[in-house]
Amino acid sequence: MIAAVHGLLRLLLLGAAALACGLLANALRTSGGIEVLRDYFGSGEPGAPSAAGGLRERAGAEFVLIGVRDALRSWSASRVDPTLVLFLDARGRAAFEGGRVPGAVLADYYDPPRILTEFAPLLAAAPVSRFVVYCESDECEDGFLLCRFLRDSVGVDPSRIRLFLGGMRAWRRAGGPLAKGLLP
Amino acid sequence: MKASRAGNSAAGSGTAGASAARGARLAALALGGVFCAFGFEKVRAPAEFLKALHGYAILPGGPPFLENASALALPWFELLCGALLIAGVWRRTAALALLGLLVAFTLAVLQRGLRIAGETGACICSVRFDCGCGSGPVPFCAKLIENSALMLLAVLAGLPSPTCARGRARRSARAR
Repeated sequence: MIAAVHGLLRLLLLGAAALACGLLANALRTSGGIEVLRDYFGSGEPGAPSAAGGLRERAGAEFVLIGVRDALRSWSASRVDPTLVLFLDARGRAAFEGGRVPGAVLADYYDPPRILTEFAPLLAAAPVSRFVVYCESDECEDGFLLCRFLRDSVGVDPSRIRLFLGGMRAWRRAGGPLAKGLLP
Repeated sequence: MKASRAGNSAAGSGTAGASAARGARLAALALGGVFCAFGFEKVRAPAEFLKALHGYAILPGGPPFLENASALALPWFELLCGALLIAGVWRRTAALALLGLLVAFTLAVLQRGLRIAGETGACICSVRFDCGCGSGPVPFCAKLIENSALMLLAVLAGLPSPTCARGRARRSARAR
């Protein structure tokens, strides 16, 4: 009995120490941390889509979805007139640097300092008429979450947002041009 | 003759106890190493772990800070338990804590894998996803086997060491 109580106390201590370490390490991070009170996934919708089908339905109900052919067409148009379309990469920095749509801007949904302090005002004032948001593949939820962020937190009209659901996987498969590094 | 037989049996149980203790120590070292590596990977990228954790829908409808705080605390919990196992301090507590985590997450992996297979119509063992375990996208069946092996290690590492058992018996005899 006493041993069980000791074990339980040790577990509680370990849990408290882990939480303290996690919060401290998070506070010391300059980027890539988590905002503890931020509702990342929309509190009304518990659970994430486990497969492409679920995400397609949910995203399609809120935004215009485009395929790789439309994405390539939009990209060609943006090369001629940069104010027509801006590609937003919703993946993390490492994936962005590893290979992205040329001219795309890094907009990591999980990097709150960058996205909230630097990126949101820029996007609100952007002269571009349309945003094409993409992620890694049609199983990736981050593009959809970024679309919601643009609509709800930045105030972008949803009619200006296109979600390229196939993402980089479809882009690569279609032989789309690639750029590497952080600079456009 | 009797004394010599008793001596032999004591020596035999001593040898068995020593090898059991060695086995538990080795299991603790292996389990500790694995969880330190997994924990470190998650500590490096908390957002990735938050996404994976959300995918399991373990805390549906709960306040967002609960999920966010869990994504921050769990990797450190694994790291701390792993370090304790390697150091040989609070070995049983750390092993049982990791066993609890393994059981909970194996059930969650099982549920998620079956759901994906059901939705996509794919063969169960061809399902691959990032389980958030710190090892990237993995085949579903391989993950289940890996977790079963880790659970076995946790059980071995959590076995009471013979010296502890002897000490406890001595203490209770003295109390009597």
